[in-house]
Parts: sequence; C-alpha cells; structure tokens
Amino acid sequence: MSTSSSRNSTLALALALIGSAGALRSADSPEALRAELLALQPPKLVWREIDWNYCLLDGIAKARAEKKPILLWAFINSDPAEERC
Amino acid sequence: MQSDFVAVSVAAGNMHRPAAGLENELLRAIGKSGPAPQGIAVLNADGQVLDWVLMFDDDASVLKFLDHARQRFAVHPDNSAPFMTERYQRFPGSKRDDVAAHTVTVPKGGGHDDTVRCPADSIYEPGTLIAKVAGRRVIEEGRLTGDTVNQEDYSQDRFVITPGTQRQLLEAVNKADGKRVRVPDQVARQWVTYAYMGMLDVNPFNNPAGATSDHKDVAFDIETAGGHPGWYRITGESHGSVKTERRQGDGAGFENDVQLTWRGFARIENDRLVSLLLRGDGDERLMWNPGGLPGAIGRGPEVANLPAGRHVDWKGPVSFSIIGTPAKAEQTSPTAAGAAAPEDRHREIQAKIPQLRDHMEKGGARVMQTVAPLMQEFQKLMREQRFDEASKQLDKILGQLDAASAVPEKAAAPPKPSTN
Repeated sequence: MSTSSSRNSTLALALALIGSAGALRSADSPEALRAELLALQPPKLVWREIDWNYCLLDGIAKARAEKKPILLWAFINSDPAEERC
Repeated sequence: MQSDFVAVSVAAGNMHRPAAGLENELLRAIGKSGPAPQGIAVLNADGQVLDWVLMFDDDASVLKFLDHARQRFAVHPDNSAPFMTERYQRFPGSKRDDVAAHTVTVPKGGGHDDTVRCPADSIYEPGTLIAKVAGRRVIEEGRLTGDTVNQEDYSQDRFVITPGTQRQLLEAVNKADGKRVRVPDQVARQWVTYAYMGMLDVNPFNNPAGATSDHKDVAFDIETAGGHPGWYRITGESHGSVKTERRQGDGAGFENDVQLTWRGFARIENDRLVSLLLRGDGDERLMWNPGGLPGAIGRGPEVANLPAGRHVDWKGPVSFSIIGTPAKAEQTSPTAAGAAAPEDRHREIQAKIPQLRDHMEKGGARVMQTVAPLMQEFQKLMREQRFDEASKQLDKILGQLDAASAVPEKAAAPPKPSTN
C-alpha cells in the first residue's frame, strides 16, 4: 500500500471483516474455495437464458431458416453472457 | 423474445472500424445507419436494419417497439425491395430522420471464407488463462442479495492472463523457491481491476475515460500451499478509488471506492498458470450521476435513460469471485501471439496506457528516466504499427516501472540496457 492511511484503513477493514462470520469463512483447500466461489455465482441470470449469437452471419443464416427478424444488441463489449457493459 | 427473434450480440467497436471481409463490411453498414455507436436494432433476414432504438418512453414501450419491428419485418422480410431504416432516440416519442436501408448483400448460404477471421472470434496464445469475475452485494453476515439485475447488486466480467503475464508471476515464485513472496504489482493489479460493481465507466483501477484514480493499491503475497502439491496460496489486499465531479463531454459525475481483502489459490504446472481461484471481500462506495440530468436524478423509468444510465448512490459490503481456467484448445493457436489482429493488439496497448500514465503522474521524471531507452523503442514500434512487439515492450516498461517505483529514491538506478 502506498500510504499509511490506506494501510490503516485496510487494517481496519480486515479487522471488521474478521468479525463477520460469513464473509471471511476460510476455505483451506483449493477444492473448498472453488466450491465457495461457485456458490457466489448467481443461480439464474435471465440474459444468459437467451440463445445469443455472436457471429452476425450465423444470425442471418438462422433468421433466413426460421423466417424471423434479428434483434441486434450492439454494446461496448461483445459477450453479454460474461462481460460488463 | 426468444421465440420471435434471433438474438445477436456484437461489439459496438466492430461496427465502426475498418476491417476486411463481408461480415465487417455488413457491420460497418449497420453501424453507419445508427443514431449512436451503441444501441438496439431489429434487422430483417438479410441483415438490413428495420429499426434502431436507443431508449424507450417507458417499460410498456419496450414490448410495443418489438411489436412495431415485427410488423415492419412482415412488410420488409428481406432485401427484395428498398425501404427506409427508422431511427428512434426514444421509442415512440422521439424519432430521428429515417435513412435508406443499406444494400450490402449476404449471399444465400454465405458464411466466412478461410481468409478472414470472424470478428466475434478471440484467438489466444496456448497457455492463456481466461478468468471470469462475479461480484455480489452482501446483505448481512456474508448473505448475498438474491437480486442480480441492478449494477450495485451483481457484476460480471472477464479478463485474460497471457503467458507473458504469467511468466512475471512464475519468475517471482521460482526465485522465492516456494517461500512467501510479493506478487508483482502488474500481475496483481490485473487480478483486482475487474472486481468492482457498476458499469465500465466507474472502473477505479483502469478508468476507460481517463479519470485519475486516488488509489490503485495492491499488495498480494504468494507461497507454497502446504498439503496441496502444485498449488500456491495467495493472500492480498487492494484499494481502488476514482472520483470525478463532472466528466468532460457528458458531464457525468461518479465515485467508486473499493477496498477488498483477498485469499485464494493458484496452480502452476509446467511453468504455466493453469488455475486461479480468488475471493475478495470488503466494502464499496459507488455513486453515478448521469450528466445533464440535475433535475431528473432518480426519476423517470430506467429504460428512458439507457445510454447515460440510472442514478446510483450506494455503499455496502461486497464479495467477488475470480475463477481462471485455461483457454480451450479451439480458442488457441500456436501463432496467436504473432497472428492476433492488429486492432486487438492496439486495444491491448490502449488498456495498459492508464498504468503508464499513472507511473508518469506519481513517479515523475526520476522514475521515467529509468525506462527512457525502452520508451524510445516503444514509440518507434508504435509508429511502425508493430503492435505485437510494442505490446511486449510496454509490458517490459511497466514491469521496470513497478520495480523502480518500489525502490526508495536514493537507491533507484537505471536498469541495465536490454539485450532483446
């Protein structure tokens, strides 16, 4: 840390978190930590249930075959299932 | 939506850059007709834009827009006759001028040829680790909120750890021979950069709008994990903080301060990082005040403020998970380091520039002198558009700047000239 104030604030934060039963419950093996991290994933995200196509040419092929219009989302990243916008 | 439309997601940047190939030509034509670089469009089955929309008058207008677009699709299902592209700033209340629908044609059965990479494909060097990040708001005593819609409740992101970045970690680990050692700042900073709530604009470690960070502090240690062969235990702390009263351009004001305590494990096999598991717990203060809306903060439907975002003023405990796994074989190419598209390399360099700027601001002339010869070479490579080499050179510069800035002023000395 670059400053003593940030060290102090981080120390205070760490102490506060140690007092929090759930937040710093220690996983003492990689397997246990992996399970803990997976538990932090939301069980259901509605936008991941959409069958996104990332290739426009693939989308056009599907639209032609299924005779449907294309809903195109142009956003700053490319993968709404995984990335931030 | 799933039953009535084919959903396609594209990076807005791919619609506004020169690149070869039919798909890129089509993306540019679609992007050219749009009212903004980002947005939602409905296309017919030949890829022509029926309607563009940026925002909606209210929630009910979202479904009305989809119905409206389906009706237009019924009239213009393909490119057999010319028509006009409708463009809505806000549907249905604020409409801009129509433009003629583009005429780029995709042949029936047409796909990618072998010479042009699909703009949606990312190809990595073998050994690249892909890390997925999830952030959750904690309600009390480690219990997570079940809400995942709003940005202060849930965040997600992804980043890649290249073999080059892995080498920096492995060198530190190997030198320490399994004993506790500091993770190089450049490596640790990448781990924590994506652990924050909120949208891209409020990144406290690598702000895309160039807002200066008050804190970019990382301190991570790594050591052999006893009883778990091949695994290393990681502990660390991070503090990122960025604040802007009024951003140039759109006038947005924001603040994001994230302080986390980390623990985790890394697995190293054959000089490769093959697994990264990290958990960060702590507190975050997030404020976003969209520009130009001083009288409307917190009011009105969210769908009426999509580009600027809704007002957020929140503080609370958060937990982040990072799970890194190797890129799949089909995502890699032995020549990826050299064969990556120039625009990808250029983007990679742009992402590192805030770190360089940070060193310049905080270290001043003393620190920058230590890398002056390397900087000249970097500038030369950039001028010659040799982005792959320039990116590696910038990694080297940042590594030396990290080392130099950690040394007290009197002890700092220029590094030995590079032999590469």
